[in-house]
Amino acid sequence: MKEKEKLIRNILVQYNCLGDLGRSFEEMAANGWMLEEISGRTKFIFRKCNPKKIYFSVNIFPEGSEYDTHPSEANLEYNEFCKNAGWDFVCSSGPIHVFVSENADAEIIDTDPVTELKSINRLMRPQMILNAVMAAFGITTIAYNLTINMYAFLMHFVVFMGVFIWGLAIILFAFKTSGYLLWYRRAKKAASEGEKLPEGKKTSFRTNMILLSLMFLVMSVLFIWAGKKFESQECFYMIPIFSAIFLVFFVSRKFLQFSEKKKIGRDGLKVITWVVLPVLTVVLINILIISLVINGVDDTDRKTDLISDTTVFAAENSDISRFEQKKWKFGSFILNQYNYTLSEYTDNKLSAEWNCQVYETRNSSAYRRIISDVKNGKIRIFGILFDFNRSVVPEGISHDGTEVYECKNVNDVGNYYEYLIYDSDTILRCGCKSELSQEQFDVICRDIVMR
Amino acid sequence: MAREKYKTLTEQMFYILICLQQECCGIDIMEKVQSVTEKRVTIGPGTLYALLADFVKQGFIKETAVEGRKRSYIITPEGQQILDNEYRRLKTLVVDYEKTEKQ
Repeated sequence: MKEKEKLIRNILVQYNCLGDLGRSFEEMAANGWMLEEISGRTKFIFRKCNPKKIYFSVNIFPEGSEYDTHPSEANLEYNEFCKNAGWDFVCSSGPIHVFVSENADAEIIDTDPVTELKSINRLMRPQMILNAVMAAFGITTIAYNLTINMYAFLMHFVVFMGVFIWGLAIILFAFKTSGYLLWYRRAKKAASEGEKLPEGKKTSFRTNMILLSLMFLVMSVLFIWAGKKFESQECFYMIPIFSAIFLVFFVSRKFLQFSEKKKIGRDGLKVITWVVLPVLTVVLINILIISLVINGVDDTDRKTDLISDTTVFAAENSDISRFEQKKWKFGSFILNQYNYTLSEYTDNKLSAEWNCQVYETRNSSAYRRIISDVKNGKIRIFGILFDFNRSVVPEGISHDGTEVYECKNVNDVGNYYEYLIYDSDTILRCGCKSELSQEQFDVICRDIVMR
Repeated sequence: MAREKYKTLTEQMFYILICLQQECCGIDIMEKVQSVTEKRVTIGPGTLYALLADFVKQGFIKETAVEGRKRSYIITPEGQQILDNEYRRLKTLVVDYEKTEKQ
């Protein structure tokens, strides 16, 4: 059998754990594996060699950036400084430069802990700022969903999971940021006393991958469970959406490795792969999730035929019974949304359709909030405010004990009428492509609102 | 802010500025510091590179010549003032020490 010539190790580089990294390369060399190159950000390639006792120094190039792809004149000058002190350049990745020496007494590359700490902090600061911005965005999202957008949060499992995922992300950001800040405090003290910087807490690439996979698995199981439990196809759609995020990161990493190997592209390519592409992915995924939550995926058979003004709907023509089964069994906390599709068939063909949502809750604070909004002609669904107050109160239709608001939207397809009907403790929002007649309104009030 | 940071200098900063009172390149600085301090203080190449870049940015030193990858520098009046301040500060420490010793 042919002996392995190349060994690949995935290592997560942390700027405050470079001493450990150097020692791990020394162990590899002692076992007959010499570091050859770093591909992408985490792929370390070792080549078979005779076991040897050599010394590694992993350092931050003071002017280096995370997005450096090819060595510049400044990098070469820095490498020359190090060569003069007895260190031979091995390879680099971004601001990280790896040097090797056979001499145990070779001059230490970073002799001033204050300067070393400054270099580490310069690279870590953008990450910490990004963490803080993401955490602030997450906290705002959670606060928004727990207050203003509470209906959506309580109604839709996808929104509920969004809040849950943001919660996890904030814990992660807080953990990473506080870990670094605690280390920074210790390092600053050590530097001011002229001592060597302490090593940070190391997180292995494998642990990160296991945690990420575990999170993905838990999310998938929860989405499948919720999809089955609430007959919500949106939940099933979330799994491929989240898989797409991982796929984009995987493809971008491979692309980066390829571009580095073939020496194509400039430093800007790295910015595109590491910053622009992931940000675009997150934005696109968010848009996809929001549109999925708002539009749903249950309405694929919806017909666009206009209905006549005289169409009369009856509860028995609708598929209420199917939607009754979708009641959420989360006790009084969750707000229920019952969807009713009132259809009219002509010659066994669906010719018209009303879409109604009835909102119910046993949660008193959510109830009070919805009622107070509805009394002002407003309802907020999935973060979108439907302001019926701005519309006119429909003429010619009324029903004892109900308040009704009508909103007419004009778009490219034609007119679309939305109604907000409120009757003591029942709220109904419905929409159709034709105006509601008194006859239709009576049926809706009798069969749904007052049932 | 930068002036505040350089209110006190580390040993490495101090010796680099001392060496640059005469024009010299990075490698010369490393050797000069070792000989002046009789190997008590050594400046690693990483530290030297970082400090030279920072000093140029702050205007404490300026580049005088470039030959291939060899760059030479010399101290500026601003850098000299920082160095003089540090010298006076260290001298005060010595005077204070001597005063207390006599008592």
